[in-house]
Amino acid sequence: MAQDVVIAGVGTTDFSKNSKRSEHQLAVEAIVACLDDAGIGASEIDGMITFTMDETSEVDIRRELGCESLHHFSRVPFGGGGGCATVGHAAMAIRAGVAHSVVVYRALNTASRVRFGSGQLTPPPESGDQRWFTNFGLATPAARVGITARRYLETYGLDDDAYAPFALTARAYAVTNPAAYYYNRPLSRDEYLSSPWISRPLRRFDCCQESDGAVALLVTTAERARDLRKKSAKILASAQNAGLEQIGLAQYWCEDILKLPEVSGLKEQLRKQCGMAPRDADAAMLYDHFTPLVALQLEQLGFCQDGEATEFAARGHLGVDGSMPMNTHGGHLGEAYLHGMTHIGEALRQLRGEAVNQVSDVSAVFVASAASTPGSALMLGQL
Amino acid sequence: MSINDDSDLFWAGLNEGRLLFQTCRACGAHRFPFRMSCSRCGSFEKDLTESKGCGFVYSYTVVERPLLPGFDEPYTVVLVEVDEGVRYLGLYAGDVDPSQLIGSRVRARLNPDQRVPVSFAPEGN
Repeated sequence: MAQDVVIAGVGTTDFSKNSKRSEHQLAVEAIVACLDDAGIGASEIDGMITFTMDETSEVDIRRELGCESLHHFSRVPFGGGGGCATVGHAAMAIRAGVAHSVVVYRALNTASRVRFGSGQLTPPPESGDQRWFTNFGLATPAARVGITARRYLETYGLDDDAYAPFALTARAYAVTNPAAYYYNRPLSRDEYLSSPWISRPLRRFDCCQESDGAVALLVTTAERARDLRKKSAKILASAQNAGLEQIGLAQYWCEDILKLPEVSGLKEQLRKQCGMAPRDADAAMLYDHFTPLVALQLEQLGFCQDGEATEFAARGHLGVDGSMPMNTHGGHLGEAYLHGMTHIGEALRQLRGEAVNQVSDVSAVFVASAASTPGSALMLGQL
Repeated sequence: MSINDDSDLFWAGLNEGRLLFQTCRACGAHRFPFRMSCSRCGSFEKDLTESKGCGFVYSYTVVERPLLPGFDEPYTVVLVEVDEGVRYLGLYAGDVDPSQLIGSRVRARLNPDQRVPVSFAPEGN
């Protein structure tokens, strides 16, 4: 029987549009907050995992924190798709015995430094040959998603405003979350409908924010966690998956672009590991970079049938009293965009019972970093 | 998909006014974007085949912001499934009502000197 591994702490900086400090500083601040949350000293940290896209240095951070040793450091590729995998890789390192307590983190100044939505970002090498998109007029992530989003509406005979419930639900959660950029700033349906087009059928509020900030999570053994003052989230399963025909943010060359094989594959791996389906969880944190891709995730992960996701959201299933509360912190749309790491932190808060929009009787939370890149997922439960 | 010699062959073809795809020499599968080997049978042997550029619109998006350098008005990008079975992106050069665009027949026009070198116009135009 493999050793039980947990997420024992979460720390964040403030989320803003201009942090006025370096990503290095943001990372350190988030890690210090995370260690404080967990009640563990920096001297216990012997591993660090972040994203290949992250521009901080593990050794620089170690120096700031004064960690006595650093036995394991590695990075996960494919941008936001790597979110849950940072935790998964940490769990593997701990189970393999090469590390005991691993900090995973992501620091990003994408509002004030390099705006991901500008079309000016140089993607990492693993994103592949971008000329297949950029040379044909699709320079931004939103434009690429626009093609998929239109095909979805056409296939299921839906109106152009079908994605609204995802944006409105996220912003409603953010209204009561003091950490959210859109705290106390509700979004009305009229405001949503009058927001400018980015790439039709995507409106501005179908697209996630660009944010400055950092998130850190502490992964350690269940044995260590039992002595800590706060509750931990047990990692019941962690999965990573890539689709065969996947290039960058688009699956245009799959037979059916509305199937996301990299996402449905995550579901199968979780089932093998812990016997649970995503919808067996009490809450879900899905990767909400663009509302149409939330619809596809809900379908490909088995929360609802194909073509029913927008109706599922419109009927309130994703609200705090719904059948599957989703992104209760407000997600990328309402709280902040940090490559899905805030979603994992929110899962921990829900399991602890300390979320601002707390769901009652939470025994398991599903998290997906299914960013339409090769992705990852976690099933978390009570220790 | 990594940048490699195979992908360069597509752009070279375009400069000669040819819209190319790859045909697997072992199993006959048509494929685009370009790559080294066949995901169906694994063969590295392939031929370059020229598409007639005729097909139907599979999906589209109207890019409003940010626009590509050199564009001052929103433009429509279409994903077209050509009769040879592969899909190409390109600018839409036509005035069909957007609600009728998906499924409509189009034909490719190649403009190697333009910022977006492939466009699709309604068939018959």
